[in-house]
Amino acid sequence: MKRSSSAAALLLFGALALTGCASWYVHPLPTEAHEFRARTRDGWELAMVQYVPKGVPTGRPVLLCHGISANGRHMDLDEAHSLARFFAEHGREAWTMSLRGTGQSDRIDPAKHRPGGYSFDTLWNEDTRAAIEFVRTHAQTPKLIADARHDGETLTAEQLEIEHEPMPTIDYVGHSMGGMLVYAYLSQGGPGLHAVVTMGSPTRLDWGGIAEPLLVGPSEQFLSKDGAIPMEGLALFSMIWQGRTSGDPLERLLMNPDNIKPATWQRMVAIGTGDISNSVWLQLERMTTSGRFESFDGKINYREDMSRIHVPVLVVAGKLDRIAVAPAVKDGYRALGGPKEWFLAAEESGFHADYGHMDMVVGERASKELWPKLIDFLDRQRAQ
Amino acid sequence: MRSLLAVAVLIVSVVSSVASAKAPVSIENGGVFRRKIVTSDGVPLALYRYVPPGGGRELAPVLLIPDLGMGREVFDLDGSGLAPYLEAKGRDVFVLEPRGTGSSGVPVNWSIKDIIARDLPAAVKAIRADREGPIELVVHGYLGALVMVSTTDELQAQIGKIAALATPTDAEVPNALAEALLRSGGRLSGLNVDQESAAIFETLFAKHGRFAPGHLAALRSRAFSDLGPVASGELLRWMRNGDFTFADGTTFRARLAKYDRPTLQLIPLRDNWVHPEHASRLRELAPNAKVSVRLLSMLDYIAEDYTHLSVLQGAGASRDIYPLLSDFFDRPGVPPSNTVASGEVR
Repeated sequence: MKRSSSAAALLLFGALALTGCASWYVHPLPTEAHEFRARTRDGWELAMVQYVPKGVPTGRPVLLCHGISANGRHMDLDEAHSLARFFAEHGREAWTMSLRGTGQSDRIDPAKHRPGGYSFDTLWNEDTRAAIEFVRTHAQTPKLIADARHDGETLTAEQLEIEHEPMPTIDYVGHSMGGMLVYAYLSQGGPGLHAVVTMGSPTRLDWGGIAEPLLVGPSEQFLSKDGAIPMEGLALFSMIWQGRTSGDPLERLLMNPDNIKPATWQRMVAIGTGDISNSVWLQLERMTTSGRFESFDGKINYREDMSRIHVPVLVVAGKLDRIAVAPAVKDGYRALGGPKEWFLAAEESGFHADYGHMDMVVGERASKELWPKLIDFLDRQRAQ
Repeated sequence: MRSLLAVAVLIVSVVSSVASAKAPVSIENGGVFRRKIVTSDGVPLALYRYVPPGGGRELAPVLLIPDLGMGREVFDLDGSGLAPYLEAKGRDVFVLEPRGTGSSGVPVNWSIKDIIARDLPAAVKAIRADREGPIELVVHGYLGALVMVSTTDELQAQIGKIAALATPTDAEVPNALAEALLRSGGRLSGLNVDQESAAIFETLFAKHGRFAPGHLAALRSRAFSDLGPVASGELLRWMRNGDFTFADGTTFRARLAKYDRPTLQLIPLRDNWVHPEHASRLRELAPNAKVSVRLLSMLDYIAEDYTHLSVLQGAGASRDIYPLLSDFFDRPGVPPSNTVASGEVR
């Protein structure tokens, strides 16, 4: 009895410590951010956050999607590290989303008809689809442009086109798996996108690395399809050493310390981490051995079908990205069938340092070095 | 008395020098030898040979070919490098300095096409004069990629396995620095004249690489030769067009489709001269070859992410890189030459 009380006390202390630990790093959303809930066709609610630009929108709304083991806060970590606020400051209505099972989105709960076992295929076919449709129907951009026209402002052809589209097409920026999701979505005919940027999004993962099985395993025999890997809890437990050791495995995998300060890294790990559905993990694990980018059942070859994508895409790779290595990202670029551009975030391109995987979304200089290239690309896809 | 002593010393030294000159050079005793070979168009080339004690005749010889504009030093810098490593592993090792580099001749307006059409056959012929059977290759960079596909034509049926380091399959202009360098005639030796050019050198070939003290400076000052206007123009055209046309009119891409050599391809992640994404499609573009690809990244707990030069001369190369090549060549079960059907290779 005494022993079980001690264990319970220890667990309670641990839970309190973790809660406190996480809240220590949380920066509240800015006042201009508005929270919404989008609903997927299979009944899950996704957390969406809208960032309305000051003044008249200069272009289409932009949906920002995070990668694996992350959540919507990756795109708005704090005032100094926020791709969402960057777009809003540059005239674009930005939206962040949290994929199911992460951030403030619905979690696995079989009692509420939200079973585990969802794969990458479910994410693009349900979550990506629902989020795009939600932004198209809830964006303020057409109304803000209409208001400006009523006020007598001179508008561009692009702005007029957006105003008069019944449901405007939007732009999309996906990081890591967030880019893979849009590749899959578009390859299967998904509608509603005008132009796309992917950053660090691989389409093959078989590069002979001895660490690959360790990265993407544990293997199928250890994971039930229905569960999820509790990355959020693991991230909080790891906070004691995050950003304090040099060259640890997570650092090697995810970032270049020349681009991300330890405090930024700690915040990202503490509040930007999301659990991973076992089936998503297993699907990606197979990519390390098969070299294929395909559906869980192997029936859809996404990579092959990417030749059907005719939406303009800017593909960004980080020179020092050791998880989505430049060849893996370039593989996706080559597969695209429509207008496309390639950019390597690297010292040789004039950047301060070679970019790692996370540097593209939370790097200290990303807003000066990289993100202007994203908005420039999206702006260049305007109506002629 | 003093004169007599001087005459005696002279006689002794003359006799001893004649004796040493007449003594046969024994390759079986090992050592490094340099031999001049002459190509079909009369260009003298330096072919170095590293013979292990015992002669290394029980194993296939290995020919090492550096990238364009680079000399023997990338494989042997004052006794340190892949050539002496493989020699120590019992291999009979040859290093070719193609025209325009190192101690080889520098014809006016020399062409990359002539390296493939004339230098390679001359080197292989010289090796085969003493060694039978297939020759294994270690090739590097842009020239390495061209050498690989020469096994479908100029070197057909002569080559066993190939270890390819930073060899592009989809050559592109890697960055503005490289383009400017090639547009101005590929003056690689000029990257040693001042701090600014040394910084360009480092960015292109070595940045973030880890080198033993003095090694990088030694490589910069000794290993590089100018490409000249023709070769630099050919290389830049290849980067811009994505394909290279050989002297016989065939193209790199067409040859790659026929390429069938068992290949270990190592791709350094931080190579700014041959980007990893420009080297990554060998498996797809050469479907008849059995290719093992290894992308070199610190994720695998190796010393560094590796650059164009450090993959051969980095401080960690003897631990991380050379054993991969040696093991690859030692691995049994690979057919001896490309005279066998591709189906058997696979």
